[in-house]
Amino acid sequence: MQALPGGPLAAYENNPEIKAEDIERLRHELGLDRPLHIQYLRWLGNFLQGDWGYSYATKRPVLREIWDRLPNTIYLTGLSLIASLLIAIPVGIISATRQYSVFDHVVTTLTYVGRSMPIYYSGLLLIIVFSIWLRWFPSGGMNTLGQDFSLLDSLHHLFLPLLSLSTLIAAKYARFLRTSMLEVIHQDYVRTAAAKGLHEQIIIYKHAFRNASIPLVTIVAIDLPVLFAGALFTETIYSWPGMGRLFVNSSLRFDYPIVMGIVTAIAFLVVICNLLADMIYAMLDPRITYS
Amino acid sequence: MPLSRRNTRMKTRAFALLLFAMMVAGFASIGTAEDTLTIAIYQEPENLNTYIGVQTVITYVHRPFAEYLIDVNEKGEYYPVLVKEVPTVENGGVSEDGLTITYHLKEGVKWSDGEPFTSADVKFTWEAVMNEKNMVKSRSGYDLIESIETPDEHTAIVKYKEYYAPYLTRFAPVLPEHVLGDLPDINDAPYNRMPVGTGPFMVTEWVSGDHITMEKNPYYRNADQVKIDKIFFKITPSREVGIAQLKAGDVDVVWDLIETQIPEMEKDPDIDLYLANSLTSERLILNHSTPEPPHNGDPDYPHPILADLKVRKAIQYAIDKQLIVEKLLYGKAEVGTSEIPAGWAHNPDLEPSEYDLEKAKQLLEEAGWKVGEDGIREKDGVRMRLKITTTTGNKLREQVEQVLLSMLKKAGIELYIENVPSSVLFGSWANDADRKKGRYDIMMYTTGPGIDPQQQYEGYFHSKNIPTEENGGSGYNYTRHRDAELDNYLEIAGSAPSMEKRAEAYRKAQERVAEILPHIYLYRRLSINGIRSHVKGWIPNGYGIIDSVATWNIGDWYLEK
Repeated sequence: MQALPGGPLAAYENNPEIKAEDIERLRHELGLDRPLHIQYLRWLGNFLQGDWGYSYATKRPVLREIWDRLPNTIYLTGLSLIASLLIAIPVGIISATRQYSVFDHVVTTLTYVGRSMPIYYSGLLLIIVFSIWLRWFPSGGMNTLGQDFSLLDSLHHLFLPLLSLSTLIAAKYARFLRTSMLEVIHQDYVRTAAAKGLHEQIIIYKHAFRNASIPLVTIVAIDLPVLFAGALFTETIYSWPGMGRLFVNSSLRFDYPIVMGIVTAIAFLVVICNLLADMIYAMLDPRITYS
Repeated sequence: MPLSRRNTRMKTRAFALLLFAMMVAGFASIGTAEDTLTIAIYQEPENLNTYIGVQTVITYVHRPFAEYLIDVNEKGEYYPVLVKEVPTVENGGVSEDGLTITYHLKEGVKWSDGEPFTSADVKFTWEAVMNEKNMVKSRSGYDLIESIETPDEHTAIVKYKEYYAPYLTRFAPVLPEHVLGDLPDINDAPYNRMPVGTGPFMVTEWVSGDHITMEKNPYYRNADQVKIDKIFFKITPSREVGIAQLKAGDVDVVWDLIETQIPEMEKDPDIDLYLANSLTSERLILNHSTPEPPHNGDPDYPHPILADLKVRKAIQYAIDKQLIVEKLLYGKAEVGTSEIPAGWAHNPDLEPSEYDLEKAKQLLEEAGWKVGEDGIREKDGVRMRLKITTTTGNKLREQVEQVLLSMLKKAGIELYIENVPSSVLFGSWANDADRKKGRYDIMMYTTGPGIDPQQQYEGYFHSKNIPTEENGGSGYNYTRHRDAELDNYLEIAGSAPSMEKRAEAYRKAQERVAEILPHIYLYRRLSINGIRSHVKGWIPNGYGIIDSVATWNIGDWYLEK
């Protein structure tokens, strides 16, 4: 970011009201006149003491800015994750157990399309169809302005962003689960279970799926940054007041403290989620123990 | 597997039900009895304190609650807002030497929290701007104030150390002392997001990234005349989204459209266009000094082509400005003639330059530029080839460049386009920006004066404001022209306490600029808002103390039922 032309004070340069000495003064007050490594060390020093700094643009504490938006992002990405798993798991299992059926072919094609279509394209398509042509769903925001909060209204606004974010990941997970189910289904213990005369449903959901889902948990945990990256586009397209949009806006105006803060916050989230994934492994597979 | 099939079917059914429920919820939005106005803004204000933030959107959003001592109406005239009358030498408000300004404040004005507005607030505003701890964007003018006396609650006497010509534009807005006075600094004050003002509305809610809500200010002195109960400033990701929502009727107003969006809006009978000719003009800035290192930007080393006045005149004659306005701006804009296109300092005698290709050719011949084999002129082995630079990503500017390219080609001048991002074009001396260092031939961009032109005019046209190593690259005389006559007019305009004398000096300065042509003015920029036709009471105003914004008289707006 530092290598890019412009900078946090670029907007001040073309204003006749603001003199060169004002810009110098602000540069000094923001600490931008110091060498890069000093700026970083100062940031790190403050950060270790729990001070995330202040936004250059709004002059508010970075933590406060992130805290305002983080719940919205977690709300959107969390629900998308759940929704995509709800779609991906049945779809993946069915298309694996009925390999090469019509359903499987349709799913394979659809997931391929879903995987390949970037959010900034599918999102705009959904807006055109559902908000502008059909007028079924609002094109952006979290609630209707001027109305008291209602769950229905909130769900109504959530639908499109949720759809575009969850289809992208659902497609990926469905394809992944299909492959890993196929692998497991053809293993000996599944055949043994079938030979014992167990019901097919029990074999698939209790024996096969449980084993096939371990790699899926890994993928989901590793994928969290991708999910946040997806949220970046989704939030921008659907005017969702989350961290993704804050990140985009702050990058555009060279608001280094906010950008640093968000990157750090996501790093924390990724670590926490990986930890959770490890705990889920142990639950799914008793052979995995941590001592 | 029949079981799983039934499962899927049930899921589909449940999903369809959910979908239906959502749709019903969407349609069942009940109209409220309150008159609400929703305005789409595609930028979120950094804060609502114009002393700290630079964005135009801050001015747009702060006008409903913030008031200035003195404001400018749609005719470009100053009018009193928080004072009883605009101080002048004639009414005794301004001393003969122009150093002492007496403001008589209106009585009975209250802040939106019910506290009285007094002269102490005026004094505090100055103190806050000058406070070392406050990261204000500019101290211009305030740093020249020696003291502010407050003999009573409704009188503020401002004493300047030296004459400051744009004194009428200070104290815009006034800050509330009772809210901010006890804080160590105002940088992160709650005021910046939840301000207290004296205007018709007050901010009641700000949901980050989503919207800002304002409600009628019960303590406003004319509260009974305010028709709108509630205003939402809805933050949309782009202008385009705002337009889509305007067409759908989800919002009533869209802020800051661009000229190319005019035809799309005109087609819709439910949408009116707020069109105000602003004081800013799109212009060509012609470098008088050599763009070649090592002497780039040094006025002692003239530009091989553009330093010659005849060439600059020829360029102006070769440009059909009217055609650009008609074809690319849909005939909505005015052709540019001078730095001050309207207002009290404007020179009404200046005519738009004429388009005369023959005259252009003749001037170039006189200057010794002869047509070469391929139709492009040459002189002493120098080819008449000039670079034109503007900001990338602006469709209109790119179209104008193409048109200029073909117009100048007819006169035998070759232009080539090399655009850069605005952060590069408008970079600082420290960032080694081409504009500051004089490494360009022709630049095209928009700038313009405030209602008081002094800072802009002196900055761009006085020879002392050529950016150099010695002055740390300050000043906006990017063309590097030096003209004693022009300097003289600007010094008079910046030092005479009489507005009449100042206006006279500006008129002469505008004539002089038209003669020596450091800038070629193409067209005036429009300030455009899309407004749904049931919203009434708005008046286009191209003037503004800080920025010209549509919300300047939002207290008079109403909804037609």
